[in-house]
Amino acid sequence: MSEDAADVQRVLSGDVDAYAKLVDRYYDRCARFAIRMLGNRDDAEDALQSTFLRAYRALGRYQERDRFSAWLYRILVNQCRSIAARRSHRERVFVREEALLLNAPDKRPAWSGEDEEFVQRVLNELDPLLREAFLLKYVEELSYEEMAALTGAGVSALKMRVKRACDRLRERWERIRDD
Amino acid sequence: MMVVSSRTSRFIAYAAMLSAVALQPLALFAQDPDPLSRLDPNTRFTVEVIIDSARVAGVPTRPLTLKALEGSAKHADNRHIIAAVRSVFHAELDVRVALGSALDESEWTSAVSALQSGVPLEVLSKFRGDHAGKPLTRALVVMTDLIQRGVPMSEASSAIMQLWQRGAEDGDFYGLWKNVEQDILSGQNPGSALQQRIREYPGRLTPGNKIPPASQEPDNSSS
Amino acid sequence: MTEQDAYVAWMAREAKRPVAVDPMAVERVMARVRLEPRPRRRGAGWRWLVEPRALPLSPALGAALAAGLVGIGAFLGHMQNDRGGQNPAGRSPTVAPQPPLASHDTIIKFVLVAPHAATVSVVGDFNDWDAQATPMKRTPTGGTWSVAIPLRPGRHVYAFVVNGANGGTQWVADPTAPLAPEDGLGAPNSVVLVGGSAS
Repeated sequence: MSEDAADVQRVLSGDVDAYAKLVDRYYDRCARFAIRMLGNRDDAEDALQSTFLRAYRALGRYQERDRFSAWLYRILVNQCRSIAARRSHRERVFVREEALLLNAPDKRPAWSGEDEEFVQRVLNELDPLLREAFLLKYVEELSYEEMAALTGAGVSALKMRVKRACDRLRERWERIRDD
Repeated sequence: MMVVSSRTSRFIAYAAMLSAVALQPLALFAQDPDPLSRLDPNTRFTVEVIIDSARVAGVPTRPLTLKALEGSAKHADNRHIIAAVRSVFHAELDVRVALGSALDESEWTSAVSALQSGVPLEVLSKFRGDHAGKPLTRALVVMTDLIQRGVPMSEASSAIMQLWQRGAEDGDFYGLWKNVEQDILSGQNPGSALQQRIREYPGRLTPGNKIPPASQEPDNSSS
Repeated sequence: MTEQDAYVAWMAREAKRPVAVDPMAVERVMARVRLEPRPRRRGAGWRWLVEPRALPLSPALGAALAAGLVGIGAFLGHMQNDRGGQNPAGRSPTVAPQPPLASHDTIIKFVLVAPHAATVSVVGDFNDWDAQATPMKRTPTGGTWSVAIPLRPGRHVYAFVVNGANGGTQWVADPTAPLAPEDGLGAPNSVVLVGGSAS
């Protein structure tokens, strides 16, 4: 039994605090996806809180044979989609100051603000579906099959989205270069 | 078709679930996580591209998935499935032009159906505006049905619009539809049947409705 | 690798860097989690209904449960039978499994008169157009088919699939319901409005 499955078992047997181990194990990685996906910390925190709460409520449905991370990510991807759909069209650009406002812990290597802001800005320009596909493929490093299971889209559609995302990014590079 | 009272119906539902589980050990709580897998890969790909476009455009995607599933269930030709999905997508874009996006799921689908039954965009646009609390879905469903049953489009839309502008309620639209349907089934000409029944309004209304005679200002509030 | 590909690779590398996370975030999640009811393993409660022999039930308890189920089945059969005909004792009606009843669902009963049909099912958006999902049950007199299922409020589209004894299949709209428009998929559909509607 994997460590995740064992922790799930403990929670279902009544040890609520065992859930903290699961959250701790996955929070940073989920936070990275949520922030890159949504482009701002408030929405990302919203998504993360909802995700882990929903995952807790749904723990009874988790099957040992599934990878916990995949199961969790399906919830995360859907939460990010709902929140993106709910907020206004004006994208909130990730601002460098936001990183400073929060207590960035020393143990995690944070970025130099400029690069991070730039990359996020470029990501924000991508259509949400393309951004999602790009992040799942190149940041989360999932296979297309895993992405298909997560998102409910077919492998061909996902490949096309990733390709389009890369095309847009390349176009962006051309524009920067030509400026 | 009948509706059982909700308290009794709740019991029936649970009893049904229990007896169903006892007889058929299928996954009660699982719905197909990948419904489009029923389609052949090429069709699926094209449908997903359309669904992507809809998502980007900000119009509902579930009706598109459902249309594809419907086509698959009916063993329709793949080209027809794709055409039908595309048709719903385009209709949704038109619905947004006509009515805006502040619609619930049922209003979306009934508006799409109205367009697909031949109601022109400018007619649909007349329903725009504050329709909170008004039976938009019912009005559109009735209008669509009457057209399907042979009432000329202009007559059907004009009759429904009359009721709508006078603040008719769900029961009024339903009552009109029920009566006209019966008349058509008993052999009356659809257009005439509608004309006769619409003349019964505002005389016969559901209680509590404050529809004034046509000569006065239309009452836009619904109780 | 072209310059552009190098750019995409750089973007991916940068995007992979960890983000700064509020150290209190996990504790915030746990604070909310502790307010929740304990999650239970789903399926455990239902499993005993499906495979009673697998569980260490006492024979007496097992028999009592079985008797209870039959009782409910007979009651359901009686309720569904408008004409007051008899439901053969012990024969539980086959109703398709549906998702759990949400608090605002309404039970809708679908009825079709099809005396020469071998099987009939109702198919629509509520079961993802799965012709096997919701079989209908023939009344003892044999002419009428029906099934009662919970539906969410709003507009639903459906049709009946009628299989003849000769093996033919026909899609039939509900003669008592409003029609949905033709759209090139052949068979016409019917519309039902649930919730807040007089039907």
